[in-house]
Amino acid sequence: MPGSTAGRMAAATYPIGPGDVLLVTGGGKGIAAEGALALARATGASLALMGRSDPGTDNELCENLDRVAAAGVSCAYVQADVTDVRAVQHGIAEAQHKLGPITALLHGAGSNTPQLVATLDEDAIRRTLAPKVGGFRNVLAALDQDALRLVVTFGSIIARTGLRGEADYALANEWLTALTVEFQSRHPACRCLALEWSVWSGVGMGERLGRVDSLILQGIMPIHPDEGVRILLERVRHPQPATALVVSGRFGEPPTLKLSQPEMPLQRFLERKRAYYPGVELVVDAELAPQTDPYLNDHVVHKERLLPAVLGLEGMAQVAMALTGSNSLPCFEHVELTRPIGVSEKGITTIRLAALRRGPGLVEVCLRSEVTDFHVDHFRALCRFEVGAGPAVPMWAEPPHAKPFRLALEPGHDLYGRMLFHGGRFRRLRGYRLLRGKECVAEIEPHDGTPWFGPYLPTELLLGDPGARDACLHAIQACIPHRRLLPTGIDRLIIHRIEPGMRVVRARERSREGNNFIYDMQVTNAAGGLVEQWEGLRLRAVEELPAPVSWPTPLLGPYLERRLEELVAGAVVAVAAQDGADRGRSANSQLALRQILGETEQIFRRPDGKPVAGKDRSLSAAHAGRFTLAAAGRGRVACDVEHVAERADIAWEGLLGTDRLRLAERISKERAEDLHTSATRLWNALECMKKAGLPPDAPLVLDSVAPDGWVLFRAGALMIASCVAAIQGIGPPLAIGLAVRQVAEGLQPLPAAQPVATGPE
Amino acid sequence: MRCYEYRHLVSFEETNLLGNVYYTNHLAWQGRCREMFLRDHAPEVIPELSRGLVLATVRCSCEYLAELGAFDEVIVRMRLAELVQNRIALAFEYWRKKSDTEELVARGEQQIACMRREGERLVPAPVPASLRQALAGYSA
Repeated sequence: MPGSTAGRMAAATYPIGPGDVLLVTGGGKGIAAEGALALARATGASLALMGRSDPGTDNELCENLDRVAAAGVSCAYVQADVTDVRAVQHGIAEAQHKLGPITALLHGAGSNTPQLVATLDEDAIRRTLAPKVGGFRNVLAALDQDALRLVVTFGSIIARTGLRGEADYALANEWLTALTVEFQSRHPACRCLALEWSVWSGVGMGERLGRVDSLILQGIMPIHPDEGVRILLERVRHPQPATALVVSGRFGEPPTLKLSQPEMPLQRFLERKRAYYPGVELVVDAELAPQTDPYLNDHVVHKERLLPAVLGLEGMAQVAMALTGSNSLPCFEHVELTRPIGVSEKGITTIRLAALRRGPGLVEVCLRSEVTDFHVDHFRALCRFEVGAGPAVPMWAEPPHAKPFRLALEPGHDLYGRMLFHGGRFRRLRGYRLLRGKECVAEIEPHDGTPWFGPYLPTELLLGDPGARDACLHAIQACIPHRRLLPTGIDRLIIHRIEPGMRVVRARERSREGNNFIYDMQVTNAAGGLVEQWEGLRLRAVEELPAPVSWPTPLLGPYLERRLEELVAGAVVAVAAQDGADRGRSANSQLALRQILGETEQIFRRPDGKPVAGKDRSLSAAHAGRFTLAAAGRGRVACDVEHVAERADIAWEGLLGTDRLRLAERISKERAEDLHTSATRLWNALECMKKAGLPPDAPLVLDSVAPDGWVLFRAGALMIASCVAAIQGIGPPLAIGLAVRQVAEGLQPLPAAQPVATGPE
Repeated sequence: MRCYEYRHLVSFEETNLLGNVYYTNHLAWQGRCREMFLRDHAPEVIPELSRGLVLATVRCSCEYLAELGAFDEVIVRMRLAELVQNRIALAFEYWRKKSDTEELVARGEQQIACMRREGERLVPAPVPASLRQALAGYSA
């Protein structure tokens, strides 16, 4: 079987080269011709093709000879019937005269006339044996056998399986293989191969007999010519553990050719074996239903139960590891979660997992569903089984958390059931240690022991707790609080250890393009030990999430930052919010700025209290009661917060001036919001202009109004974005203004994956 | 299709006041049938049952097509409907035998899960090879 010799790839050289001449019987047409041409091209050997057909009258032969010539291969065609001793001798002499001594042989000649065994007579059997067996003997007899460095015979899997109407053909092929094995034992220096092919598609006997379609119905997959030629070259090039090799696509389950099938492990997704060629291919089905897979009830999006990607990964690991028999976990590469897998609420949904060996230690896996008639890869991945992988290299050093600090964000209350649809087993986010627009550090609860599968079903999970793994993805949702994220792929997922207990996940945004986000994630245990790494996790924003009735303060920074980025092209401003409780304003803004800038960057204060950073970054902070907002970015950045309060028109006119009050009235009408709210927006805008160093009477115009309540003003090159939000524990709604000056050449985005403190200038 | 047969002669203890067989007896016969099958075809499994192997009945059903009465001769025919991982589904047919005819009087089905006792817990276990081989001869 291909694949059973994975580890023996040493000394890969062709036994023949440019000085050699390869004699090919049955070589003008069919699979022998394809193989001959490929061998000649790969080795530089000349070709002596021997066949019965006349190139003058046979179009296929003529075309093949033209292809050989076009490939620049030195070639001679000799017309001879291999069953005719004299003709063979003459042909070989002629070929050697033209090309030089023959040093390699590919015996592909054969004839196949299907005939039921009851009607077979001795003549018929002799006719079938003549080219395969007699022909091989005739050719060998006419050659200098000691000069041969390569002998390949083309046999058939039928020799092993049998096939209706093919008793004589099976016999001829069995004898041919036996002769080849015997020749090898007498000529140990010659590389001998008896390749027993299953049917080829497009070329060869099977095609000529019009059998391919009927064979497919029996679970038999024809070998594609390109694949067959590739296998031939590979087998000739690498010394093989045995002379006789069966090369086959799927060959169904003939009672005559049983593969020893190792016992399937007792694992949830290996429920029903559909096809199994040990070491090569494994296809299994599993029947999913809410009773047998109760986690589905914890993973409902828009009333549809979806198979969580983390359980898809578990299934893929189960099928890949069952195929390879490996005890070590694979590394997942090129994971594509192309289409969600819906599972019926009532009744059963069958999913199919298929694993195919692609190379040494490499298994391609896909997951399909009956919903799409098993025609579509919903999930796909490459599983790489590394032998002796080096020690784990962290993506970044996780700073020790001496006294774990937690933000005032309760995932159970603020995220689950609101931004995150996940329930029960998946609600594992415990809290955040850090939350910025493009980075977060979150804690994940250990598993509470709730079973994943229905009673009596296998419980083993090769990849450990799927809930904790899923919760790592949830952590990122808080960085993008206004859009629902779903994972669509992972470049690489490395699972270093399977262990219970809490985890800490750090996720950093690498890049964003429209609705597609790329993150890197590193998961550690309580002691800081590496648990798993996700490189290039792809997430897609699939829909808008409604703003919460009242914002938890820690979510506000990421939200404002993201919306500003979306509203003002090129704006890269980091935003943080702080609920000061009983701290002073200055301590509060210090905390907020620290959140943005990290622990190391120095923050100075101007005499007027304005914070200044050491670099060319502009900082701004604003307060409303105990609430503080801070913003930092390149160019000119300013922020302002004011409680929305009712004031008499005359008071507003005094604060804003007549023109600006007009503008407020206009916004109030357009947005259908009360005038106090619109007027407070204007107040924000004026404060931002002041902080940005613009004169109070600079022209201020309305740029646009977004459907989610954001209003965009423009004052020259300064863009001012305004929103109104209710914040948990902060009394009446706050109007928030964020201003950024657009620089002509655009604002250079900060690379998100760099810690802010050490970011490039 | 080969079936395992368990033959039973109905007695008064199995009939109710009205003289027909009380419905719970059919399930008891499923149990006897499957036990006798073990005795006849997979006796190696029986000592395993006292060494932690559990054949847990997950599901059991019966469909009653006709009444049975005392002295009826019943043939319970059992076959393997399906064997998936650690789960075995058995199908039963109940035939009343008259001198030279047979009448189908009930149909039943049950699912058994092979488990192993590990302390307090029951964990799924593979179907013992001897049982699997024995059942293979009686599959649909």
